[in-house]
Amino acid sequence: MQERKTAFQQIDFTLLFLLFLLMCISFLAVYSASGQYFPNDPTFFLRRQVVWYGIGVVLMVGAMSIDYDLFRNFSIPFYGLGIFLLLLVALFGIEQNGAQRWLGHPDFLLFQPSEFVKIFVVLALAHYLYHISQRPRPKTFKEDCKLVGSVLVIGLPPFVLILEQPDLGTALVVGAVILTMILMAGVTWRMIGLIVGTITVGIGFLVWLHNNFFEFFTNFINTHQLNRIYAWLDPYNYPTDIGYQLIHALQGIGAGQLYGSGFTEGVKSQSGAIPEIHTDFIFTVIAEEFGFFGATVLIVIYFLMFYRMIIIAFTCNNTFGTYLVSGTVGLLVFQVFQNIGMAVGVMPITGLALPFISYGGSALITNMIAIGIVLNVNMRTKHYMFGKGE
Amino acid sequence: MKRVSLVTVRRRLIITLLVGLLVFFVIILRLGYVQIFAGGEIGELAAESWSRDIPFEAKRGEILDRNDVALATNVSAPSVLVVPRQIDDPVETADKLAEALNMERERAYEFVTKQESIVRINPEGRKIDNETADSVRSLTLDGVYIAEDNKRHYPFGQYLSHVLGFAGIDNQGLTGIEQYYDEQLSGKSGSVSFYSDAKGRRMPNLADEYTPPIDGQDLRLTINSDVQTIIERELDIAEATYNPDGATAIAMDPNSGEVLAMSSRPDYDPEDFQEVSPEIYNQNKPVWSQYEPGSTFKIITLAAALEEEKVDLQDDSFNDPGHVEVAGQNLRCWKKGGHGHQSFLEVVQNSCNPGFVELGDRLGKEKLFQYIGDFGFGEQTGIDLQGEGTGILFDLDNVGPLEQATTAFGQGVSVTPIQQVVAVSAAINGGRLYQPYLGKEWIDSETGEVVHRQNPTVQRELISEETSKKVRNALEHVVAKGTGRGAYVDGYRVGGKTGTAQKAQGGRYLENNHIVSFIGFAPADDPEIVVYVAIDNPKDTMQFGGTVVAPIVGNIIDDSLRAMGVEKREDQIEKELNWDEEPLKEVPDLIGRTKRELYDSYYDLQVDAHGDGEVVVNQAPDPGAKVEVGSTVRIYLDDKED
Repeated sequence: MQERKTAFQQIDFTLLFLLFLLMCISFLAVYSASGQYFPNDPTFFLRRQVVWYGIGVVLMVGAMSIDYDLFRNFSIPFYGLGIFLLLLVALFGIEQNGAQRWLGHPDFLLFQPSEFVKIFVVLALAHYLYHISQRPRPKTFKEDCKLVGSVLVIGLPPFVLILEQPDLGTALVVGAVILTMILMAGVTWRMIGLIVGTITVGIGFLVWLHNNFFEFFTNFINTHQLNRIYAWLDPYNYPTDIGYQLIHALQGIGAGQLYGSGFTEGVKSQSGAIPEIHTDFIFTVIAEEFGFFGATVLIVIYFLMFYRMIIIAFTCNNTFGTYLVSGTVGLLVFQVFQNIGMAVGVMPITGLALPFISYGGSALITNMIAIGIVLNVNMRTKHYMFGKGE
Repeated sequence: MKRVSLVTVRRRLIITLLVGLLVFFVIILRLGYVQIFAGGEIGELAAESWSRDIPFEAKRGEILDRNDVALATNVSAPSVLVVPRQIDDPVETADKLAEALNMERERAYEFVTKQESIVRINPEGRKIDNETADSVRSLTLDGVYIAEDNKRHYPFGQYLSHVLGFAGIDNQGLTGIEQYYDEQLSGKSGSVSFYSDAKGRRMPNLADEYTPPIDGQDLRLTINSDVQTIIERELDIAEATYNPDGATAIAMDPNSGEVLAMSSRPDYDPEDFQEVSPEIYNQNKPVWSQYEPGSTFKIITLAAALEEEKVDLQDDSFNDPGHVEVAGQNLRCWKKGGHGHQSFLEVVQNSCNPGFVELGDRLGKEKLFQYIGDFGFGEQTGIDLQGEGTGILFDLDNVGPLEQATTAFGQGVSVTPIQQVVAVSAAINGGRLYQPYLGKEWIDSETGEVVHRQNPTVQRELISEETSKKVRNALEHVVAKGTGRGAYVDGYRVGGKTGTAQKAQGGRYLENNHIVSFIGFAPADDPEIVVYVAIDNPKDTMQFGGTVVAPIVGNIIDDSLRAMGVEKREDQIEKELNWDEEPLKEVPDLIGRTKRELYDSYYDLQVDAHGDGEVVVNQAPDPGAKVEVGSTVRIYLDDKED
């Protein structure tokens, strides 16, 4: 019989340590990247980022302190709140840079509901799948269809509302969460194949429309989003407008080479040539100033973090906990992949933050809460000497 | 039994982990490609686009004449640069800049708010004068800098414009010597990295990278500015007198191929080249234009015939009936009724066409054309200027008796002025065909040391010194006694030959529209200068080289040899006078005479007095020199002590 540990003793300090490393990297990168915006006060963004981390830690501890089993009681109200907030954004939101994403006052505090909605979606889907898993379900295609249909009914409304803001990046994150959850729900491979096939055919259809019925095509994808695709496929064709950010980011990353140019010595990063370098494009700073070596260290930290989270999901005996952690993994992995991917040119540019590194309150707090949930699951997992019979 | 077993979930978790691993692997792969494989190249691009370098333009090398008179120099012309990020109040800065540089406010505002690290105010703030720069400097605006810059200055204006060419605003040579030697003249730009990063912090790795510019080398030309001045003056007078369509002049040292002077009209001011049409600045007539040489070409035929011993100028005689029939065509001599019975020396003196047809006949077409080719016709001389013509000769296979005959006296072929100068130089210098050149020495602008010297290049040896002497003698006779008398200069033994080229247009010769030319050299015993002048379509005059151009060449040779310090000769062939010419007057010795004495005596000369005083202390020309009646004698007056 294993000795019973208290919940506190069961906290995954490895995960916390990895988070601490990311925080340090974040402070360095934000300082190096953001000073140019306020030359007289180079630590302006850094100080704020420290504050955001502080708030994030508090909320993370908050998310850890209530037994996650109780989350099921909040998932439906939170989900409803999320949808309500998204509707508020759609109706009364503040528009910036051509997208209507924010609530609040532009001079005081801006609040981006879609960030928190991501957590609410994870909660709602985990709750639903847990609910399903409590009863026997025949292993038929029809049942799979029902299950996928239900997941989509929960997941698609926020997805569509966010997509319409427009905020393709966050919408895709929600999409990634939905797909992860479907995969984890245990549907047959046939079903998964069908979904992947549908997405592939859908994209193919859009490309076909673009090439043959461009007028009609513009009903689905607006010019702004289309430009991002163009810029991604051939940035050097649009060096002064839509390809500008990517070209300069690539030049910065390339200039870093193996060991980088050194902290705050990045020629490109310091030039002010890359917009949003302290937020969406912060990876450029790390890759240029710390080189391939430093960038790889960052990526390895991320990977260790996900490995750790998957272990937590793996050892968790409570399917609700497993689903919660899985959804969080989907949430974070996709953001990391999408963010670094766009900086190195394997993904189109979307306005997504690099988790735990980019400057910015909403995204950081959301991700901290997500980590809080994972830690919560881990610290309350009961360990048995033998597998628990069900 | 639950529908979803933990086993399934765990299996799926492992799949998720594998997918995650794959994703990270893809990213690291791509990152490796960008940073390591393509990193060097991309990094260079990044450094380039950083572009916080303020270019430090190299100083363009100066162009000097052979005696170090500056022909093309640089003058300070500062440029205004702004660093938008350092400007706190763009509106105010723009207003002040706009006023100082006399530009529109909106435009100035655009410059000071550009999303670039360093912005040049171009063109309003580019290469401005020092006063404007001072007024900008006195504004003491943050983020506005004055960079030292310079622009090309041609102190002599239109003088030598075609040879020098000009350089554009980026100090890049566009025509003439400026273009031909652009690489050596322009040097290499340097740069200094901008000091701070965006945070106002110094960037140690980058800031110290200062690349000093490498100044261009100075170029010393073969041009003698004294001779050039004389030529420009004479062409000015000729243009004023005859209102021609154009004019060309070349002076060359026959013993080296060094071009002493060169001029092409119409000309232009290199600093305002935009004001004339491109044909004017692109066509340097001495090397570009190609036309029938006319009688000057007879020198080649003469030299060939003498070298091949086909004629004895004194002893052989020739009867000119005024025309000669060749292949059914009647070729007329320029003189109606012909020159009658004459020696071949007189044939040359009289520029008698039938006589030269005879010489061409004696040579035969192979020999004649071989000599013409050897003398450099039909190919570029290789002078260091762009846009040189080759000329057009008959294809030897198509040469019949008629073509051979006309070629012998300079018709039906097309040559450039520089080819004629080089060929005639070879005929009189002992047979050496030089490659003409302008760039004499390259000088390191810092140390003043000569780093490269261009030596004369002999391309071919053509005729013997003996033959050359005969040619010189014959041509001296032409000037003393024949068609070139207008070029006669007392004491300088000028030899030369007239030419009257017919201009062809649309396959026909134009009526009353000729290029009249004269090529002369002196002194005939040891030539030091060859001068060629051509006037295109002079108005209100007989269009003969002897009438229009010979006196010009005479003046040029006279003044140039004086300026070059060449001594006058004693044993000169006496000038033969026409019935309408007055004999030359010997200049009396006026030195030591008093002013009163001068008033009391009568000379058929004008007197131009300089200085205050009662006694003549010097005079020009010197006593004993021969001048035309009515010429002016310059005297210098002073008070004599004793």
